[in-house]
Amino acid sequence: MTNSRRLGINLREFVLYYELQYCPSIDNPMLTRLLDAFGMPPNTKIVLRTRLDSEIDNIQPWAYSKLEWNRLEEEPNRFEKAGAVRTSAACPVYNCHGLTFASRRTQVDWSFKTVSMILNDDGFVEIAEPAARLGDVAIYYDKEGGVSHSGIVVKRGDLNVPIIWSKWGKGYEMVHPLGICPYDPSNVKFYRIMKWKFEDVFSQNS
Amino acid sequence: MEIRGRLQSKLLDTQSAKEAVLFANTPTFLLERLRKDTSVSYVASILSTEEIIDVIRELCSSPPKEPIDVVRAYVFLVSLALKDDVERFKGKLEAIDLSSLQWGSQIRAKIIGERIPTHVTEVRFAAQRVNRVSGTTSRTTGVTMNKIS
Repeated sequence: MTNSRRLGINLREFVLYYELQYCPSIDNPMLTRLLDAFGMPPNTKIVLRTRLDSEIDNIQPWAYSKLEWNRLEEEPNRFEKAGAVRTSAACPVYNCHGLTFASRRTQVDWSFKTVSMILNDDGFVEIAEPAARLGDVAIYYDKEGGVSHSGIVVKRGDLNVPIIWSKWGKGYEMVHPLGICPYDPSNVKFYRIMKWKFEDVFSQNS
Repeated sequence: MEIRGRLQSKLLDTQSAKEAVLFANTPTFLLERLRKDTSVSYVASILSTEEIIDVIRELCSSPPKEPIDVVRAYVFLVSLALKDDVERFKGKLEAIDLSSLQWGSQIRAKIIGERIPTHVTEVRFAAQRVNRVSGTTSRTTGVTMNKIS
């Protein structure tokens, strides 16, 4: 006896029943996104919030495979020849801020306003470069004061230069000396989460 | 396309342009990097502003098929930053749907915005001396000839 007859329903109803019971994509809209009219995967976004519950604008571009993005760059590239180390394949879904602040889940909005909000809400405090150590965050600012890049300090290298782990645009995760990257290293600021206590973050009403 | 056929792909698809698109985190970074790229100056030197806009419209009429098409679209768009007469074609440029490029709209706005004058420099010249006509006037076959002292 077929499963559909056992359930007393016709085949079409059975297919629907089966999908509803056993295919998580039916229940999870994230897994049932359709391609657009041109056959391209649409951009998506997720709910992402700071420690103080502010919404973080983000986007997940899915277009093109890592193979296709990898084709844009020679291997090794000029930065690798200068001492940077590639630690992943290209991936358009998350950006540098996505690695630094969002566990590789998405591209976090690149605007100064958003990055400042995250630093403030998550309890980061600026520290001097000589004090930067493993786990601190490095933010690269451009000449206009905007944010061009971010990464995480992983150690101090030769001549005590900070070594940064960061994601380069839609490209790769790289571990690199502070200045061996495509971004202007002349205005980099370092931050550490120092507001751990409830009273540091929230004003208290007795 | 006929217009793009006039361009050599090796001069258009530079490694530095590909790198800029792959590694860009912001539209500002992408605009500044590409503006200095030889591919952009090559396009700006070969094509007119109107031709560049026509190519952008064609490239953006459907999503780029692969990342190299994304690079080319940005190269053509940024080449407009090197054109002095882009303001004349502002309406035509703004009519293009750039949604297939993640930062197309922001870069277009920056290119157009940069053309807005922020200050005016007034340049004065000394009044031109007007030659006075004097003496006799002769008329020959309808041409007036003045003798200038």
